[in-house]
Amino acid sequence: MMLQKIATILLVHIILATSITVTGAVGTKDGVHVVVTFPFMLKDVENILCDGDTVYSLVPLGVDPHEYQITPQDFEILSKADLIISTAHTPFETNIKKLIGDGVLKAKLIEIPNIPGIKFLEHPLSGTINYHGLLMDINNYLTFIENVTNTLTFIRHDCSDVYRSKFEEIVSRARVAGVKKLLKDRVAVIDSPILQYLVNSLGAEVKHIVQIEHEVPITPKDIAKAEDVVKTYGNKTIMVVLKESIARASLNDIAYRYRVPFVELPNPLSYNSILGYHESVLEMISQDMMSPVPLDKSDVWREGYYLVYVAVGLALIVFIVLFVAKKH
Amino acid sequence: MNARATCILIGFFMVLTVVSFLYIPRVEWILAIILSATIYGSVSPLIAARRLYFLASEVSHIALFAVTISVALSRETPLNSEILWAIMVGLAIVYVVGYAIHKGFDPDMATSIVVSATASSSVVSMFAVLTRYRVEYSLWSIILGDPLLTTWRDIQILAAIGLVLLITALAIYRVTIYIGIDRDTVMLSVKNTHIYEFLFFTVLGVACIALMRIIGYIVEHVLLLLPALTAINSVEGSNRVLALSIYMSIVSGLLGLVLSYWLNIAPASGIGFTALTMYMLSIALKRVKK
Repeated sequence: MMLQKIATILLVHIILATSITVTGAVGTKDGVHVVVTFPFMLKDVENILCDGDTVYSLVPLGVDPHEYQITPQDFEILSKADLIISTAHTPFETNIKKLIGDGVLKAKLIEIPNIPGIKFLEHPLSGTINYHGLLMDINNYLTFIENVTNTLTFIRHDCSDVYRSKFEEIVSRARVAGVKKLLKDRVAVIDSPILQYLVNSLGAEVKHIVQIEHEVPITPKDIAKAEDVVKTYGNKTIMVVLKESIARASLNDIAYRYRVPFVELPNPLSYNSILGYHESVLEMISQDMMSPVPLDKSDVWREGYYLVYVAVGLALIVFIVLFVAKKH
Repeated sequence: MNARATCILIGFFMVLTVVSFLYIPRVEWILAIILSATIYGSVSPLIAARRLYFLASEVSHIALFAVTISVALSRETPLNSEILWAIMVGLAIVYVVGYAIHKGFDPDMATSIVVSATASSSVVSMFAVLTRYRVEYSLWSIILGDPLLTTWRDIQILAAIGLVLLITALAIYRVTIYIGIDRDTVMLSVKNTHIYEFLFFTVLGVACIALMRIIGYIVEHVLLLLPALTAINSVEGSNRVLALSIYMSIVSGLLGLVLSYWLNIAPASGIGFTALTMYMLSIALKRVKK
């Protein structure tokens, strides 16, 4: 009787589980199934697709891709994919490349840093190539979109006209964004390497990146160097940081003391379109430029006040505890 | 554990294996889990016997340092393989901890010193490597894997390493337990204890560092620490602990994999929760027995 129950439960579980359908990547038989590893290019790829084509992002929006582990559904989607677009740098992306090399996954692979025509910038401090945020540069973005369009045309030739006309639409939209050099003739201090291509594309010369690399902690010298750049270039300087950046408070303090513009941008990983992000940034910067950045009091000062309150509170608690202990 | 309980466990294992092969679409995933769980299940009682949980869980810090150094070494030397350098450097550091413990250092203290040194050095080496060499990937990608992204080549490597580690772990098991219980007596009565120590740290280092590339550090952490603890709570006698530890490890792995496929979550979390549930049950069982 007991065994029968267990067998029934197992059977029901198997039936239920096998009936799980893959959502988000359902398309017609003839459509091209595209998988992007990072969500920030999801809409950009979606904008060129033909009827029946699908696109799916492995990493969900807002999740740090460096620590992402794929799920069984992700693998199912990968195995059905015709085209995989990867930034070629996180652990799961290098493993996907290995699976394609071994023939386990049949999809074509586009690795963004390996696309012919992609231009690289040198890190202003180390002189090494910066591989972060390559597509934030409008020209690189167009090279990427053209490469994806050509690959899609190769896979699904009957839709070549659709791909081409949608590509042209994106080109005209990107060119509108590309001509706006809102930071022209400015010298920029940025907090993360991911911003270098974006800020450079907006016309500024990046003189210093506070966090030298994604995995490298910030040193006091990195902050001091930011101040040196502001001292040297004065009003020409602009500080561009990501919201919730670890260097934000220190850079805000420098900007406050030297009265230089301080622009805070959202994390690109919270957007699902590179071009959309670029356009939002243009809007944010143009608004900030029209009214000089309000720098009433920097975060460092505000944090300093909090620390004083905390210290006074702690001292009070210690005093009360000691007093009560002495009484007893 | 009586014969009836053994029959139930064997029966459950057989049903679970059949269900896994029927339900999970890729044989590679099941094999990767079974092989790695067998390795970790056999190494876990050794760690428990020597009470080196701290070292076992901190090896990932050592691995990060090994990875960063491996980038420079692979570019500057004729051996152009980052993964091989990472394993060699990582193993060498584990040997340093092992030597200190062999010489009478407190294991946790030796681990703390080495982990502090490697964690601090990894910050410096990361800076040096990332600013001097053309590195277009995250450093972790050299050594971090995912059980769902294993290939047949990985399975072959896993099987070969697994066989060697399993045989070695079984060969040194009894002496390692004696060392854990009464080190001084063993030093007096057993010849060449340093060979057992060397083999133990080799097994630990290879299981921690080399296998991280195939199945990732989360599964590794869970299966290195919990199976032996669960087994110690459930049975008495070193052989039974070893057998149950391997059993618990494989069952946690397979059940976790089935669970992860059913709920569409990463296998590491499925395996982790299953192993943890088993451990909690073993504590409850122990209390009921008392």
